Amino acid sequence: MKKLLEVALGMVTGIGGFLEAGSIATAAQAGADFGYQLLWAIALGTLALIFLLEASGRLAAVSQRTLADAMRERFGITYFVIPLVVGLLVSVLVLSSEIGGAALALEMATGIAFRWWALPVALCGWFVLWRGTFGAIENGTALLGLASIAIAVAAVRLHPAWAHVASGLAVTRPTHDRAHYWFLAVGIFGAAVSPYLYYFYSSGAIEEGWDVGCVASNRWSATLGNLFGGALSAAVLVVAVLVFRTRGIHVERFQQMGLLLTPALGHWGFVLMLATLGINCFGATAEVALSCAYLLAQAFGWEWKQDARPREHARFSLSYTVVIVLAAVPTALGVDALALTNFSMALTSASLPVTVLPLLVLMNDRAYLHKHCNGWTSNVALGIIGVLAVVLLFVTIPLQILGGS
Amino acid sequence: MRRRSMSAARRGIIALTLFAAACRSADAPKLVETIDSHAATARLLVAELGTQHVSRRYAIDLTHRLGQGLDQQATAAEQARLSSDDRRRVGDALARARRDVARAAAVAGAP
Repeated sequence: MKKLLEVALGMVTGIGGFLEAGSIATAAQAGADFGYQLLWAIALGTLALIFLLEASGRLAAVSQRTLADAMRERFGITYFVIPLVVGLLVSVLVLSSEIGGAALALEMATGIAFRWWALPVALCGWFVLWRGTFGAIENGTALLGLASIAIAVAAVRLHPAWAHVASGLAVTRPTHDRAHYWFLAVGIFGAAVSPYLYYFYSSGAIEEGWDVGCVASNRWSATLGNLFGGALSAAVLVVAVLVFRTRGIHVERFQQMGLLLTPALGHWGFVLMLATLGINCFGATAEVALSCAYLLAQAFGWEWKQDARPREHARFSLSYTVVIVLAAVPTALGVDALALTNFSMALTSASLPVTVLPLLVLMNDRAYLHKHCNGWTSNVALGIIGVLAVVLLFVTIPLQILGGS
Repeated sequence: MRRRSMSAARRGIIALTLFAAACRSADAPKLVETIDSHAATARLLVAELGTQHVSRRYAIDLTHRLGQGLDQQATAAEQARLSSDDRRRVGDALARARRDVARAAAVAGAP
């Protein structure tokens, strides 16, 4: 019963954790600009995230080390500096876009410009981290994030042609704006597999005291949770096709998202869309800031535990305090949240090789995984993700120049 | 030596910026499509305001942003090399879109 509850909670976390500023923005733009054509990118990102999270959770449960700990130990600090710096840079950018997303939801609700909400959102995020426990942060935001199910309800109520929807799962060439198409595909993939997710996931496994007995429940919650999360992201794309594309609307501002659910759900659609954007971005704000603090603490060997009092792990607490304030600056200066989100999601894709390739090596190291090393399925999957990550490293910047908005 | 390398870096950034701008230079169909998208958003907003699905505060803010977007498109059109026919098409689209956005603003009760 307890295991079942753990899996159910993991699924809820997956649903609430999957949707955030990046996945909502990229899926909505993809639907508005290319119809169902980019659904395959969401499916690919979801599958990749399932394998990456399952692997990092299994590593933590069996070896009792977080992904960052194991990488530093196995490859040495000289190598670990690279994923540390890259991971921090990308995570701060992602954090900025999450703060921007939450601030924009508040702007749409109150009419007060989003830049004025940047510091209050950051302060609330910091307060939650300062006072909250790991479980409360992870499960609380995920449970509130269930408001996102409204997007799936809207998708069904708009009666899409399911055969057309399914056709989007096949990779097809775009008929127009090729660079923008591939840029969005890279952004969707980056939004799905942000490195902060698996640093956070493996650190959470240690926080929650996982052991070898959790390997099976880890597999189920990583798979089912992210499948549901991916389905919600696909629902955003489907609704964007039916609401925006059919009317010739391109998504150029986050503010347009307020209209996404109203044709299907009326006034509640407006309220639920703002709630979805606000809650999920706020939840992601807390998680990304915490993930940065985990990464820093594990890199430098500081004491870390979210459930302990801040003064007991002062450097850890100081890390998320500094990071969250820094990340609020672009939004406070009025930087366009959609452009920032697109940029940070694309850079996330480019940053993948420095984490994915070492993970592949670790998952085959018997010193860490014993009899729980990767089987051939996981090795093939992580190998493909690794090759894809290397390709993305080289194509992301040219695509940013040619197809970025 | 240091000054020379900084100057080379600056030249590189300028070249990259110009290259990026050239790659994304505005053409008439793209401009018209973007302008029409703003107009379509304004029309959808009017419909949703009519059924009271969205708040007036939100509508006022969105119409303000759409207006800003149209100003940006107008500037892009001025800077782009367009034939007189294309310039007229873009101008017509801008006029239509401004009407739609103004109507949305009026329905929302924008000051």
